[in-house]
Formats: sequence, structure tokens, C-alpha cells
Amino acid sequence: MYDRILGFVLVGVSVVYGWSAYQFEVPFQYEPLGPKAFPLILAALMVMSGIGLIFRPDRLAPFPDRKGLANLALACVIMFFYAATFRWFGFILATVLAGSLIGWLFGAKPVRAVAYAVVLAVVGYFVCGDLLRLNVPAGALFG
Amino acid sequence: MDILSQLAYGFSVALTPLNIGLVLAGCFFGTLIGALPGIGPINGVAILLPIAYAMRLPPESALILLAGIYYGAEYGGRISSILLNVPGDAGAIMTTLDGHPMAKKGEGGRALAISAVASFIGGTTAIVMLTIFAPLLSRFAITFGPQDYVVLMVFAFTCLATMVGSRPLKTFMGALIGLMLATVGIDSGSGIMRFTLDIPNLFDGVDFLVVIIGLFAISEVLVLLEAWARHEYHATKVGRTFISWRDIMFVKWVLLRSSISGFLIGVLPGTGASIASAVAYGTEKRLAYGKDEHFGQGDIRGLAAPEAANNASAAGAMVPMLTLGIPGSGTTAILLGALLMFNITPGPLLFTQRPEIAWGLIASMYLGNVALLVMNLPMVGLFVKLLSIRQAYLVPFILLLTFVGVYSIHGTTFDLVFMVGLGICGYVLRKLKFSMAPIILGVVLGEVLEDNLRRALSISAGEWSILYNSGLTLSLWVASVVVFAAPLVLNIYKRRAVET
Repeated sequence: MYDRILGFVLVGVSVVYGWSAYQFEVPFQYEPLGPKAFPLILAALMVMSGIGLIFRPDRLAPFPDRKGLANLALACVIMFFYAATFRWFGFILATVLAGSLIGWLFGAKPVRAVAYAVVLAVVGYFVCGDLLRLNVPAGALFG
Repeated sequence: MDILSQLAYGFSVALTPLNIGLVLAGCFFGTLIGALPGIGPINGVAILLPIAYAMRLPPESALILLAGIYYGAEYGGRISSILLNVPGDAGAIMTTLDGHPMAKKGEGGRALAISAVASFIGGTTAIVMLTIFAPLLSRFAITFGPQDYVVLMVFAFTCLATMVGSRPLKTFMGALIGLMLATVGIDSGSGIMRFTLDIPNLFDGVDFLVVIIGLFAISEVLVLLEAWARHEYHATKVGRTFISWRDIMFVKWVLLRSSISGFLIGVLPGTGASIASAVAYGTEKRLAYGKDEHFGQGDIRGLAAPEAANNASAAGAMVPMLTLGIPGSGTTAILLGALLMFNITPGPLLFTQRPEIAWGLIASMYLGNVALLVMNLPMVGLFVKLLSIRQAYLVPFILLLTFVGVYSIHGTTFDLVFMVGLGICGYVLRKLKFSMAPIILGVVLGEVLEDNLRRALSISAGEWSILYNSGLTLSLWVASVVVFAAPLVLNIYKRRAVET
């Protein structure tokens, strides 16, 4: 069932992909093949494979139950939140928030999860920023 | 003689203090990551790659570090396999078969010692073979034209499709997804924008690092979360770690056979540690039949064979990556991507034009193997402690590393959000039994494949026959067809045998 859905999605995407490749306007071209051909070949192969998947889907392992799905969705939200606030809140604040939530999601007691995230964020900030000289955001929020 | 002097030059590169430090650091962190349950070599290299990149090391040093992490993780994988019965990746599955029963019998220390020696011998034998064969292959490959590369890549994808993953169709589709991702961005031939959706962050193409971190590390977090709810890990006691000369003499031919076959299987595109260790295990089991064997219940031959083979295949996989620029596995695809980020295109000319990279890397692998053996015997207790780290503490740390790494490339929020999005797609695909390696291979090879195809057709003025009218291309096509058809034919035979 899920294989079929994926097959339809991929066929749809590759039709759009192939169609937009067909629409490319190429002002000048030095070689016989040009920038259109390769994407068109890929799109054609993907459409064929997608149809193959629709006709012969696999039997799949059971999916997570409702509680598992809720946990996974929560993890996705936390990661998107971390990504969106990383630059704005700065490394330390964003890591404390996301780190404690993720720790809690993986079964740590709330107080411990927060304490661990604070230590991780502060130590990580100085190790990554000063020791490894990586680009660690201080946070646009704080100036 | 030629090879020896070049190897000596390689050692002069690898023996600088910075590079020695990086070999040791790479091996150490690689073993750490490999020892963590559920996190295999490919994740280790993926997570640490952007950090190695952002540290602005010279390319040969960065590659030495990454390669150290790669075979360090291959080495560390045996610890969680033996003590927890949890393989870090597919290549370590065979190690659990005889390693874990030994640990249950209270021989965990003996198992760890034997597997450390087996890994060392497998790795070293394979590096010696790499030293001999890689320059030969690169000399031969200098004559390859663009059409040969196109067909070679078709061959690599065919091998991958039939050997890796649950089903050839899905592996093939994974490669197509990767190739499609690789077409995003400004086309180098004509300068037009392709599939950028008018997002400025995509004009440069989809960033390779963002893709691998998303597909591997982020999706791994979701997989860990799903598995966490179901399992609690219990490590068995280690006991005393000792190497006995008798054990090693008992398995010496096993080690040699497995090392050589592991190397050869590693060289073939698409076949990596998982197949090498399975073949070595199967071979030894058959050879030992009737000779006091108890495979599956803690036979040291059954432990030594896959361990030697998977470390040998890790070195073997470097051969096509360095000499042809065509990686044979997901992890070497990541290493290739790392080289491309430094504007170095691996290929036959690498050995003559950038010897400090090719030979420096090879020399560092000799050092790394010795370092791993020395490190692993006394420090095994430390690595074992890692097994009991709770995921509640591990996962935030992994997330931190990935976010810092990806952010340090361009410093944009877009990359982070895109990475998480890709990670979720990766998780869904993994649930549907797609493997991630072909996607990465597609992303890495996409541009090379398209460029070579366009160049070949420019040479032939648009005649497609250039792809199959030379001896080399024709034999590669035949090889591809054979690789593709062999499993199908075997299946038909099997079915007939069952029916009659």
C-alpha cells in the first residue's frame, strides 16, 4: 500500500521534473546533448520504475503504532524547531531547548534532561567555537 | 621499486605531527562511534565530515582523518556486535553469529582479542594489496575515455542494484533519486538554471553535506527513537582480554583466505563489507564442515573470518574510489564527495598529479591499522563502557554535532531546515526498505556521469553508438547484463529444483 503511494508520488514528481526540463530555454549550446537530455532520461527511467513499484509493491514490516507515530512526529517538530531557531536564538539557547526536549523524548527525567542539555550547550559552544574554530552562532536575538 | 619509493614519499606525508595526530584522533573517534550501538561507520563519517571540512585542514589531512574514522568505526563495530548482539551496520551482522555466543559463555575478552587481531590482519593484508594494485589500475585507467566512464558507472549502478538492499528495483530508484538531486543548480555546460525553484540557496546545487547528514544522521535519530521504545540493551561481561598464540595459529589460514576474498569483493563496485563478511563466513563454514566445527555456537573461525573480511573490504573499496573516482560503497561515496568538496577529482591522474593525497592516504592506513590494534587491546574497557550510554544523552549530542557541522558550511537556516526535511524523507524511504547508499552514490556521481555522457556525445557528434562500439565498453555492457541477469536465472533454477 505505502509502496503504491510512493510509486504514484515518484511518478508525479518525475513527470513534473521531466516537463520542466523540457521547458528549459537554452540560449546557446555547444554540444549535441545539452542540458535537457540527461534529466529527461532520468525522468523516463523513474516513471517506468515508479509504475513497476505500483504494480508489484512489497510486503512491509509493521509500522509504528499511534503512540510511536506521535513520538516520531514530535521528534520531527523538535528538529524543525531547532533548525529554525538555531541562528536566531543562538547555539546555546536553541541547544538547551531542543536538547532537553529530545532527551526527555528518549526517556530521561525532565530535570536531568534539562541539566544535561545546559551542560552540553555551554561546553559545546566553547569547544566548537574556540577550540575547533567552527562557525557557531551567538544568536541574532541578542544583538 | 617504483612503488616502494612512492610509498616512502607517502610515509613522509603521513608522518608529519599533524597527520599522525589526525590518524590517532580519527581511529579513536571512529572506534568510539563504531562501538555505539546502532551507529555504523557510514553515520560516523557522515556526522564528522562537515566538522573536518570546517576545520580548514589541507585536503590530504582531512582525508586521512576521515579514512581513520571510517576504518576505526569498522573496527569498533565488533564491540557492540559481540557484547550486545547489536550490529552497528550490515557489515557487522556476521560477527554477531559466533561472537555473541562466545561472550555469553564468558569468553567476551577472548572474542574481542581475536577479532581485534583478525581485523588488523585483514586490514593490513588488504592495504598491501591496495598498494600494489591501485597504481597498476590507475595506469590502465589513464587510457579511459568519457564513454568508458559512462559505461563503467552503469556497471557500478547495476552491481549496486543487484547486490545491495531488499530489491533491485528499489535500489535503482534510490540511485535515480540521487541523480535527480544532483541535477539541481546551474548547469556547467550551458549556464542555465535547472530545478532551482528560484531559491537562491539552490543555485549552487544541493549541498552534498546537507544531503548525507539529512539522509543518514537525521533519519537515524528517528530510527533510534522507534527502536528505543522496543529494546533495552544488556551488555554481557567482558572477562579477561588476552591474545593467545594458539588461537591465532589455529585461524591463520582462515585469516589469509578471508582477507584476500574480502579485498577482492571490496574492490567490486556495489559490494562492500556486508557481502564480504557473509562470503568469508560461508566459505569457512563449508571448509570446516566435519572438522570439529561448531559454527554459530562460538567457533573462533566463525568470528575471525567475517572480521578479517570486512576490514579487508574497507581497504578494497578504496581502490575504485582512488583510481577511477567511482566509489564502491556508501562510505567511500562520502569520502569521494569529501574530495570533490576540496576541488580534487579522484581518478587515474590522482596518483601522479596529487601523490601527497593518494600515497599519503595509503601510508596513513598502515599507521592507522597498527594504532587501532595497539589502542584496542588495552582500551577495550573504555569502549565497552560506552555501550551503556543512554540514548537520552547520546541523541542530543549527535543532533548538536550535525547542526553545528551543517551550519558551519554556509551559515544559513535554509540548510538546516532542508537537512531535517531530507532526514524525514530518508526515514520514510528506509521504512519502505530503500537503502540510502545508492542515493548518496547518485548524488556524488550525478554530475560526473552527466558530464562524461555529454563529452562522449560531443566526441562522436551525437552518435550514441560511441557508448558500445569499443572492446572495453562492450565487455562492460556484457558484464552489467551478466550481473543483472545472474540472480534472476539462479532464482528460476531454484524454483525449478523445488518444483521437481
